[in-house]
Amino acid sequence: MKKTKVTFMIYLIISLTFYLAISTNIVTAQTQNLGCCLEDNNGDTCKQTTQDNCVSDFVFTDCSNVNSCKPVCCITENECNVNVPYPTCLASNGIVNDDPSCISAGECKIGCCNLGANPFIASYSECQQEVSQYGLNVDEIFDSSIITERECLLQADLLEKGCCITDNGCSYTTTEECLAITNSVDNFNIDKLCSDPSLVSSCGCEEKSSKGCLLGDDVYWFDSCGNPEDITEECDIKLGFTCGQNEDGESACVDINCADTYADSISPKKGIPRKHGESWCEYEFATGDGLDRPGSRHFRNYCLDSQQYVEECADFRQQVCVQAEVKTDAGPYSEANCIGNDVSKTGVPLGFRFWKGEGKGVCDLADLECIVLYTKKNRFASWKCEENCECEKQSFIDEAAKNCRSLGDCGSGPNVFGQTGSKGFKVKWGGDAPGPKPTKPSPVSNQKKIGSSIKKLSEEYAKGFGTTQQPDIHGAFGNAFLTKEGLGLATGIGYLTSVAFFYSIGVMSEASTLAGAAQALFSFSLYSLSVFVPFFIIGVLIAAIILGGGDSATKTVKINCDRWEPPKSGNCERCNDRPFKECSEYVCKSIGKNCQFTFDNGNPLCLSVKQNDVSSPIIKPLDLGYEVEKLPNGHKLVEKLQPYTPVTLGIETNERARCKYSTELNQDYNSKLNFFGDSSLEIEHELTFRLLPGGRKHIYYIRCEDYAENQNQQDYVIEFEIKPEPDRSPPLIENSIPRNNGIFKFGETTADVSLFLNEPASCKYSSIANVLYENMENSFVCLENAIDLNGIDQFICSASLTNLDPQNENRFYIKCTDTSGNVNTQDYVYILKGSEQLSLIVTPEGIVYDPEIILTVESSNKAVCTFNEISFLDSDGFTHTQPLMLPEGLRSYDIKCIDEAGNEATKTVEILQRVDAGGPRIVRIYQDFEILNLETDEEAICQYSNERFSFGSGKDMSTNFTKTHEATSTYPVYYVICQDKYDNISPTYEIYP
Amino acid sequence: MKKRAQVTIFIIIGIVLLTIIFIAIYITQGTIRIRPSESIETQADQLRESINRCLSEHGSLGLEILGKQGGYFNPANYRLYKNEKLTYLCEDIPNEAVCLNRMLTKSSLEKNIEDFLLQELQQCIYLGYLEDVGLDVETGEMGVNVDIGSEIVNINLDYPITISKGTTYLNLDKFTHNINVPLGKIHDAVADIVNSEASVGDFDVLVYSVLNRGFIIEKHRPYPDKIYIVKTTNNPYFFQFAIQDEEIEIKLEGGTT
Repeated sequence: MKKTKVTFMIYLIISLTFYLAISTNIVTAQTQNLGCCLEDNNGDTCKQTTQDNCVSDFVFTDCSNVNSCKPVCCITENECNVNVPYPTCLASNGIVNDDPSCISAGECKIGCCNLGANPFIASYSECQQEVSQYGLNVDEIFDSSIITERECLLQADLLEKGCCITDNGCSYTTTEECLAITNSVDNFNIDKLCSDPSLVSSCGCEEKSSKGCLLGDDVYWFDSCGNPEDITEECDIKLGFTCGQNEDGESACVDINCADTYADSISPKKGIPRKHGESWCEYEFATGDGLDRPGSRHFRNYCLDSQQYVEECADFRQQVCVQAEVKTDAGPYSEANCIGNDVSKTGVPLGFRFWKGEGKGVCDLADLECIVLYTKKNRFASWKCEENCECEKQSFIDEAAKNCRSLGDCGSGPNVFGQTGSKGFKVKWGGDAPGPKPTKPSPVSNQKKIGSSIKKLSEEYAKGFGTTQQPDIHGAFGNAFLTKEGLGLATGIGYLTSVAFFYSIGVMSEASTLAGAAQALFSFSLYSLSVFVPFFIIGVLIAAIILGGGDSATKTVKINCDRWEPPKSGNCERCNDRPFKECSEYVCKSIGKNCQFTFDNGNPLCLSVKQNDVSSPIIKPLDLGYEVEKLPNGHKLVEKLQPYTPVTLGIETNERARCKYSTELNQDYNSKLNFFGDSSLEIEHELTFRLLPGGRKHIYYIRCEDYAENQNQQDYVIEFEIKPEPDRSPPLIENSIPRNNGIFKFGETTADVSLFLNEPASCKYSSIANVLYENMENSFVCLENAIDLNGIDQFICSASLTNLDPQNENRFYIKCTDTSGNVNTQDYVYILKGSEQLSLIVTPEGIVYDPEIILTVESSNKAVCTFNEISFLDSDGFTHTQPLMLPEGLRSYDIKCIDEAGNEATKTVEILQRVDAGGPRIVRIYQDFEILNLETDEEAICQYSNERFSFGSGKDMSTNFTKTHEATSTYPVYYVICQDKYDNISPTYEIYP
Repeated sequence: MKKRAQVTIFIIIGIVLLTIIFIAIYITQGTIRIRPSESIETQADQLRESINRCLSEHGSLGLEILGKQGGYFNPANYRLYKNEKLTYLCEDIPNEAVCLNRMLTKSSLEKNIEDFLLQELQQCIYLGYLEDVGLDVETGEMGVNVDIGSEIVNINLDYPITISKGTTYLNLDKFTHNINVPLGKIHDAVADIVNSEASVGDFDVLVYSVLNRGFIIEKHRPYPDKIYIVKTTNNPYFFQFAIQDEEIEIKLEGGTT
């Protein structure tokens, strides 16, 4: 058997060896004819074929061994081709990447090409090709983090809306949000409303349940689950309609235009209805052409959501407001903006800090001088103006004044409130020529006017803005901003107006700048003198010769333009009281020289400040509708105020001040902690607070401080009283006898109980808890009148409680009602316990030697005790003590105690006081080891010695008065003397141990 | 003999079942817990309510201060305006119309509120009363996370608290409160305003308000600065801040300044 197996195995091994050898030879023989052909007859490259089929280089090896035939990643036309032979790629003009799998080639990264609603999985290159036709950036579109097609396709729907079914109900939302909430797209029903009939079972939302607004302007239906549905009403925002709440509280298209606008000054079309988004300028009096007044400013108003807003252009007229008017299908429409003030174009001079001396150099530019020449032909002729005759006219002075004002805050024109400045323009005449010599400019017209320069600028602005179409409020204005550099250029107005002015008076033909003009004027005068005067002289000489008596004369007018100065005094408060407009330092200072500007805790404030103000504010009541009674140093509210209600107290000061109050008299201003009203400087001061409990009188002590820190030295008093509040409180049991949790008399089953209440009341009790007052079966007897107990009025109710159990707690549930019918809602639980019999221990008793004793009584219950009907000096209820000084002899004391239950105990003690005349006697002697111990019959101090001695010179056996004594020294014989408390000395004892 | 074998099998099965149950409990809960007593749960409810009240009150207060002061609790560079310190979110660059943007990022705002709350909540959350009623209290470190959303501000308090009585205990650690303040939305508008001021030197309130419905933006010019007050139409919350500017002096050759 085994032999057969072995033989078979040997046969198998040998035969297989032969077979393998033959097979290898066959394969080798076959491959020997094949090789790698770089290009075959068919034009294919790197082909494994026989040499016959090859038209190019042929190598007898596998193509994978030929470098030039190794596969590469070939990118052609944005497609990534994997494992492409290198020559093939080259032939197709592809881009070669060494990684044949294309994985590492950036252009071949696979991701989601998220192109709007049509995302697809693609390579980066493919995506790039796709998006390039739309001019998009592939990096913004291609998402390499998404590589599965499903995930990619979902991107298309992320912003699609539909009904999302969640555990908390259904909501109309986007795919993205639904995915975030539920983590599954299965819960999302794209393009379906939550009220869709197919979702009734899941959502149960009824369609068109109500109307509402969304972020846009239109009105939408909402389903009963609160999800938006379709638009129900389209609102035309261009006409000023948008979704909102109408008068009935329903969502509808509502008008958000401004039906009425605030009318002020000379704003174009002031006070008229304005459309939503419309804006318009507001000027103060005249503007442009140098007409702007000191303190004036430009404002831009606008209407937004039916509200009017006012935006200040930069102060000191560093910005001007320009406005474009256009006609639209819906009617006229204006848009305004604050832009940097280029003075040469706007004709609006910049404002100066005139109170700091700013602007003098500018104003000086308008200084001028004019010489008027008069002549008479002969002595019989009258004087006649020959030259510069315009200069003597009022219109010249008026024009000069206007020119002065046009440079900025120069001259003496009116401020923004119409008050004329105190200084800034002078007219001085010299010379003896006859004729008028006007010295003052005519009053400036209060006519509200927009100068041509501003009008022109607005027209230019309108051209840039558009003419016939309503401005697109979705991208309206250009960027016309004030630049700080620009301001430096903005000083040209004075030059221009000056030029115009000189032209108007005809004294100058060529001048382009004010400086040039002034120089020209001066030169012209010289020129006149140099050219015409000789002719005049000749003429005059001839006339004199012919007629005789002719003459000439001149007069010179000098005009001085200086910084504008405000009126000496003005109503500074006007600055604080302008609707929509905050006060600024520029406006405040233009009102009057008395005006001081401050930021009072950041609040702009214009104050009237007196020179050397040392007066503290004068306080008086502020009329808040209360009837007040004047007090010598304050006032009192006549009517009593309701408790716990908010109340406002008010005072008025004769100047702006801060006020503080306290409830303590004579605290100075700085010591008071609370501001009366807020901490700002005010004329009217109001303090609102919630009143305290009723029935009380209150006094507030007030002091105020003005801007100059002048403080009242005396309190101003406000007195007020609060009405007693209605009685809502039921009676309160404040105390009882016996006390709650107290005891009743030993051996008895009844107890008389008295309750002490805070108000007149009726009380009942029950042995059962929580019984209604009406249903309680037992009543207390209550006194109507109060009893004064320790200074407190208390009302007493009494009852006799029966069937008491001395062994256990006896509980009674009490309720009371007051005269107003307020009943205790909860039981007052009153507990009484049985008591022990009262017993007494009295010390001392019998004979005493000490004349000073302390009579002490110990009571078994808490009790009140007397001796001979006198109360004990000290008592804690259980121990009662009384120091006594006893004379010699027998004394008797009757002790009587009564505990809180009424248990009574008495005891009579007799104390015999004897005088101690003898010294202490030794009653016991013993020796403990080597120490001698003695006992005396009374407390004493003992001394000893080994020889006879006098008391005081021996060794102490004890230092305190005691009955036991010991001698520590060892002697063969002890001599002992003792002395008691009463200085009685014993005889000398001789003791032999 | 047969009966003894059956009993042994049941005992083995019982032991195996018990072991499985214990292992299951251990795996699912980590530790074996005892259901807290009702009084602990009641106290925990009260504590939750109290902590939520703290989050609500101090969160609202913090947001209010932040809004009134331009995003900072202690402004360093500010304009005093109507009793409030308004942070300059854009600071003046001398002689230039544009300003230097000091805008707070949303995360910085969040950090500011978190720091404020961390301080305030330490004072507000009082656990002493639990000890007064006989419970043991152990606490971990307090952490506050604020997330400013478009319409709400979410406050998360991470404060591990263990209340125990004997072997019964209850763990609390996460508390959340949302405050209906559109700070995220307002912050975006504030960023737009400051960016405009920083890039072109001005900001047109009207155009922005028309384009972005739902905002009410007030602009004031207390010389020389600008103040912006931003709020939304449906919420009284507001955020105000300042843009710093410089005083411009009139200069003219021959004149005074």
